Amino acid sequence: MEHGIYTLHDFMKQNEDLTYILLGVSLVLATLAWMFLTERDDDE
Amino acid sequence: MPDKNSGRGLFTLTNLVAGIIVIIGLYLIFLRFKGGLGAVTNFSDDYPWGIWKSFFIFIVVPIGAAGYTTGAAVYLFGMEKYHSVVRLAVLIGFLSYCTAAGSLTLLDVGRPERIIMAYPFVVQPGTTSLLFEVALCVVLYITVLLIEFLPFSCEWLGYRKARNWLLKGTLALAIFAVVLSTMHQSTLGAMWTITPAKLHPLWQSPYLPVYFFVSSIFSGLSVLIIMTTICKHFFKHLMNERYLDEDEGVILAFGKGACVAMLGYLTIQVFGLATADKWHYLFSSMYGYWYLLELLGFVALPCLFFAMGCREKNTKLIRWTAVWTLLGIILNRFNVTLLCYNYHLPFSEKYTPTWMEVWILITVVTIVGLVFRFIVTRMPILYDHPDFKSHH
Repeated sequence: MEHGIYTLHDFMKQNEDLTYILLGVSLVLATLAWMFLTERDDDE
Repeated sequence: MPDKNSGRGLFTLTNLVAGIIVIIGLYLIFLRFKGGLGAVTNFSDDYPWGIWKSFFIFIVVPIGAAGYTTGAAVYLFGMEKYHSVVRLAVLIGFLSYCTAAGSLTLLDVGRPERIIMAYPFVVQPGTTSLLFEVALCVVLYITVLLIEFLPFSCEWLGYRKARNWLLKGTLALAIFAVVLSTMHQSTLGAMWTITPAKLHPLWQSPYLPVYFFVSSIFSGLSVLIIMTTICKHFFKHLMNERYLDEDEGVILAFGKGACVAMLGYLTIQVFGLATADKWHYLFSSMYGYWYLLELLGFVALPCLFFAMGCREKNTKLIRWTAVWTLLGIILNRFNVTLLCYNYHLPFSEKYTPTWMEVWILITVVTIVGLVFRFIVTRMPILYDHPDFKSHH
């Protein structure tokens, strides 16, 4: 669905929504990355 | 401890090549002072800052971040097991900042005598200028690094009292070093926020101070990995058992630290694109592909390789990835300061350095390399001085 961007508020709102989604995705990815990085640390 | 290189003699191939580079370079520096900046550089109104500023300030300063990252890890976060590399890190930091300040003061400023005479830095402090903050921080940080470096010289010269007195302020200096580095590493990025029309939008961002600061962390860690490797290759005969034993642990820990910092850097870069809605720039011109190459090829991939190296305990992979990461930092700083600056200009009007600029740059790097070798082969950087062993 296409939304028009007419005002600075629209622009900020659209970008903010996307940034929040990215924030959630990055938190999940960061957790996975940390698990990948440290998974074998306890092997020693 | 005696200099174990003293038997090699002065007339080696390395010294001969370095001597030739330095002699020609010193003549070119003489030409620069005789005829001014225009005599040896391609600086113009569009490009008042050339390759010297890009390299000596925007690349050498993050290289010097090895000092504060290691100091913070050991003294502030209590990672005492990596203590063996602190001296090397302080030396890298000290030489880097001396190079940055020295080259800026002596080569790159049109009227260097004004800085030498403390004018206008002290007489007329420009407190609203970002450059003033950088200059103030660098001056203070060089002082901190000098005080951190002096104990090694005192051990070399046998000044026990002075050395013990200087070491009393280690923790305070480490805190001071982190604070100052946080300020000026980020301000180097903040300086480019005043060029919104000249720097390409993909590199221009209100988050530039954060980008520069976070990237300086993995730059410093990578430089330390590289320099540890170089020292192990060329000065292994100087290293004592403690340094050799801790080497692998240092590489793994610093590789992991660099990986985490790079993940953070990647995340805020993506946030920067999202908040300013710059996605359409990515595939609309060569600059977009160049940005993707920088971000994916020189940050995301090295980050993955660091992670794989740490997971597999593969120190060789981590060492090579550190070189790759440093190349990424160099590429990023050249992109911001030169390649993607004045992006609207036609290619024919872009800045290209003269051979003399490049030669002078190589001369300074060679001199710093020689000074590094002189210090490492004489002072207790890679080993515990036998007279002070109980104090370490």
